[in-house]
Amino acid sequence: MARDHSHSPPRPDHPPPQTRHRFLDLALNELLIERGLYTEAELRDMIASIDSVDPSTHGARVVARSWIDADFRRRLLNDANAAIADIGMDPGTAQLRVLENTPETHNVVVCTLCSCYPRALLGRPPAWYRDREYRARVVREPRAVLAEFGLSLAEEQTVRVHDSTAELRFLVLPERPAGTGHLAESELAGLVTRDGMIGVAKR
Amino acid sequence: MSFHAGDTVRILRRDVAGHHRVPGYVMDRVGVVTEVLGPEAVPEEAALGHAAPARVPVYRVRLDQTSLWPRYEGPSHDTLEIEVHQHWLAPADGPDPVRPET
Repeated sequence: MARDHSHSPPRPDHPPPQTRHRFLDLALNELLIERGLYTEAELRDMIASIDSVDPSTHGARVVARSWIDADFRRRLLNDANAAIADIGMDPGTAQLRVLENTPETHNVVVCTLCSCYPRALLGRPPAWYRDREYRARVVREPRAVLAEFGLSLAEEQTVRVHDSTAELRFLVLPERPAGTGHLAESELAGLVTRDGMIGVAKR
Repeated sequence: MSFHAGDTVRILRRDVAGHHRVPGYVMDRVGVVTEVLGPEAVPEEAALGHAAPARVPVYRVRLDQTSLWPRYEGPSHDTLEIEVHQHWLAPADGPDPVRPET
């Protein structure tokens, strides 16, 4: 980055920063590149790497494997990072917990303070996950929010909201749908959605 | 003071000017420790770039939704779980170390 601090946008079509925090973000980024901590090319590669994570090929594969392999499922629930690394996948740098949905308990994940999310398995969080409305409402009226996503839960089922604000990242393990005993792992993975692994859908 | 799984704890309402990881809606609320993690860096120090921030245990705390929200519309068995660093917790049945007069 040029030493003249002209603050030209990093790409021609990049809008100029509109808020104080965006200015701060841009200035810090310029300084770190200027000091040689990383290059613009490395930053682009990092963003591309984050964007390459697809829930249907990452998280869904973990879920499908756990549906057909009881031993893997046990290890996944006990130490998710180790179990996922064992099958040659990247669990991410944070400690991961897998939350098992059962007929008795439904789990749903939020980060009320920002957008903590198991990015190594699900990619970038969807816009609604970062929105104030979801973050504020799902902790205080989870059943109403889930109903708006099309998921109505029985009173007997316990709803467990996990506010992911500190060390752990969470992946919801949906229940295996009935009548899928004949399906192979890759076909089962096709039944698993991103929303199911956040807990706002059945699977 | 350290805690164990099964302990009933109060999440404190501490005045912290800078960064911390305890959302306001759980402050002054009581829950049960389900798991002990860490020790992990104190977020208030890590956020300021301390090279060697203090490390403390982190507790997963389970709270009843009906104790968080007086008008909670769901059944009484619904819960919320959150991780809380040790210095934000006190025994639920003891005095509040932050606001001892209350």
